[in-house]
Amino acid sequence: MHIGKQFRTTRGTGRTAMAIAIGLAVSTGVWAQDQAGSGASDDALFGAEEVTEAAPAAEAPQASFLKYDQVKVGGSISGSLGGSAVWLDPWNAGLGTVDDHYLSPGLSAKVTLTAKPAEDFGVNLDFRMSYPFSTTTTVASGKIDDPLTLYIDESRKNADIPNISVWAAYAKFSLWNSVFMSFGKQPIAWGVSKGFFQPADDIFAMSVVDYSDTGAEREGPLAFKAMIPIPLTMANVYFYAGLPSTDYTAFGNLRVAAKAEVNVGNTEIAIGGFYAYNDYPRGLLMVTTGTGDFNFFGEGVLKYGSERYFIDTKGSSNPMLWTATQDPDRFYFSGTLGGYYTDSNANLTIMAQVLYNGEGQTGVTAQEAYAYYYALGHLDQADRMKLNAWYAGASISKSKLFTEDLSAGVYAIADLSDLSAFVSPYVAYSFSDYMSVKLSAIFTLGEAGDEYILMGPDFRHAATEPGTAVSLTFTLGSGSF
Amino acid sequence: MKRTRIAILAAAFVAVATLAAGAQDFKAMLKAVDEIGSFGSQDYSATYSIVSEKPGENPSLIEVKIFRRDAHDQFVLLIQKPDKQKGQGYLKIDDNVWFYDPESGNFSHSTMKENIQNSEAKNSDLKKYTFADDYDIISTASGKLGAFDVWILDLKAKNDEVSYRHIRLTIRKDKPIPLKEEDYSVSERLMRTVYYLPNYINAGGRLIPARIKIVDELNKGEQSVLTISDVSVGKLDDQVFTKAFLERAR
Repeated sequence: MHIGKQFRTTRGTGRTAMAIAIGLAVSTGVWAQDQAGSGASDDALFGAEEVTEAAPAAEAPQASFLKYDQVKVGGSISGSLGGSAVWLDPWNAGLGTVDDHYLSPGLSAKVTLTAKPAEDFGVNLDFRMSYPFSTTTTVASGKIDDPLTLYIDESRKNADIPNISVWAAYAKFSLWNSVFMSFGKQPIAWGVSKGFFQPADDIFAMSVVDYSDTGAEREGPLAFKAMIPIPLTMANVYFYAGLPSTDYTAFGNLRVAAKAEVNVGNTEIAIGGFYAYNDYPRGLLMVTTGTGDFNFFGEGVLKYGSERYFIDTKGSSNPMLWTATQDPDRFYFSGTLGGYYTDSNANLTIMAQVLYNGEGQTGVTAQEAYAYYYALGHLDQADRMKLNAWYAGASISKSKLFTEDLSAGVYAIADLSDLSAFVSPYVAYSFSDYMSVKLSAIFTLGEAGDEYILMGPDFRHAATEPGTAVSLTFTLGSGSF
Repeated sequence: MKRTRIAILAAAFVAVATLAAGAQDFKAMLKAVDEIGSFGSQDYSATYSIVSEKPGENPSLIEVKIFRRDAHDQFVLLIQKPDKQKGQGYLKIDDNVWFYDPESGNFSHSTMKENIQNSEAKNSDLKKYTFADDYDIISTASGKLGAFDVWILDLKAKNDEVSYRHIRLTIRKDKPIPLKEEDYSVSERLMRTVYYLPNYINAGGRLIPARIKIVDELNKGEQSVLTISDVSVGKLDDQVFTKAFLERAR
């Protein structure tokens, strides 16, 4: 064998072996690196190990949440000063003339007292006030001057009524550490929708949804509430009983409701029922679930009967020929589906929701309907009942936008039945924890007579065209304590 | 020639076998990390004081109480301070996570990915470790961190329930305890670094880091330091892991 040829063969084999070894090392992804450490500062944190023994707990770990040694006083104050400019028809009249402009001072405060003298008893009080702190009203008083003729000597005078409301006043107590109850004026939040439309919570709530803060607490009635966790499960049963107000104390006004919720995987399903002799019974189905950064909710309400006076135009444009009647002997289904996406790392929240209102009015515009209700003396129809059949809402909000202190967002509500909507974008900057500025606008979209055109872009002016309102508001000295 | 080829193949086989054995060890190591951080059949509660620093601002203090029943994957976090947020909390039962806001009385579906108030800490930082269930091992390396010899594991998420899709976990070689965790965004940007400092509290035979430092890698100078206290191991009232407890904690 020629020596050179032998040598060439050996070197080729060696190169092949080396290639195989490198390939193996890379393909299995393991390599031994002697790292000097991630950095000098990191190394300084990791000296020798130190171990101490846990000290025995002085009391049950949960005790500090269930019993207070003192009454806790808390609350908040919110002060703002802003200005608004309103254009009722900017698309035709232009922006040259402002239809209205005004200052909007705002001052409100809340004081809460929480007492927990025992683990199975506690009291919550919540007082709220807002500027102006009193309102003037005329008070009439009189006495029977002549019992034979019943002549009443009457006098009238003005009185200042403090603008302070008792938002909540209730006691919490429990029985056998198994049934957890509360009684008093308290929020009843038994639904799963915390979006723009809350058909389940609407049943008990005494205030409307704040579209700029849909998760905010809604004022509740005088009510009794009981919650029974089912042992060894994550199921709960709830019972509610209450009155719409102390003005309605007939037995027939007593409202009772119950709800049972169970968990199936990462989904919570609840069924409920509501009954009052002088109201319309309802059955409810509620579902909430989530996956990753997405959460979804849905509520369905099946109601037997309706307080709605359904307008029948009889094909005529003359309101004098219209009729409005109730249809109490049928079922009405309403439901809502919604979802929200939250990205904690990006400080971003997106929410969208749709509502079907089974008691929706059809065949007339919002303006026609409200004018007719007013003529009939049924303004309650224009109060909290949604007018039309289909609605949608969406919002996007992002905090820490470019800087720690800048946030922006937009929300929109649309009446899909008459294709009217209002859109409200905003941008806000925080100078500190107690001071900020916010630039916001509302744009109303639709045609004359549509639901979201009627109240104007600032909800203060009757309008017939899409309008715009722009506000600049400084929040001053606001905070919680 | 033939003997050379046989030798090469044998060496390759040994190398693969060795490396395969090593890969299995890392999976077992990750499981061991999870187990050492879990309290098994015991309940666990502790108070965490979270001091957060941001440039130009006074440090802020948040105090939270956590309750864990790892055997049933149950977790409760309640805010104790500041007083204005006292009673806000999270309840986790299996895959369900609720956030309770005592202001509104609402329970809403949430995730463990949320930050604890404005701190750098997330709810997921205080629950039991589930690295083995949630992550695949992409690569491993050996190294040193301070006085400790360590393994450095690159992990990629198997599901979207985790806070970060890619993390780099530094684990002690002598005990399956993490020392450092680097969290990356989807775009592979380092978002934050969690330092599990080697000061431990021994509770129920488990070593719990007494101090955790979390550094925001996007916003320089921002960090949170978690200090543990009131550690308790023992049976908790079943009612603690219910919505009723969160409502009563208001």
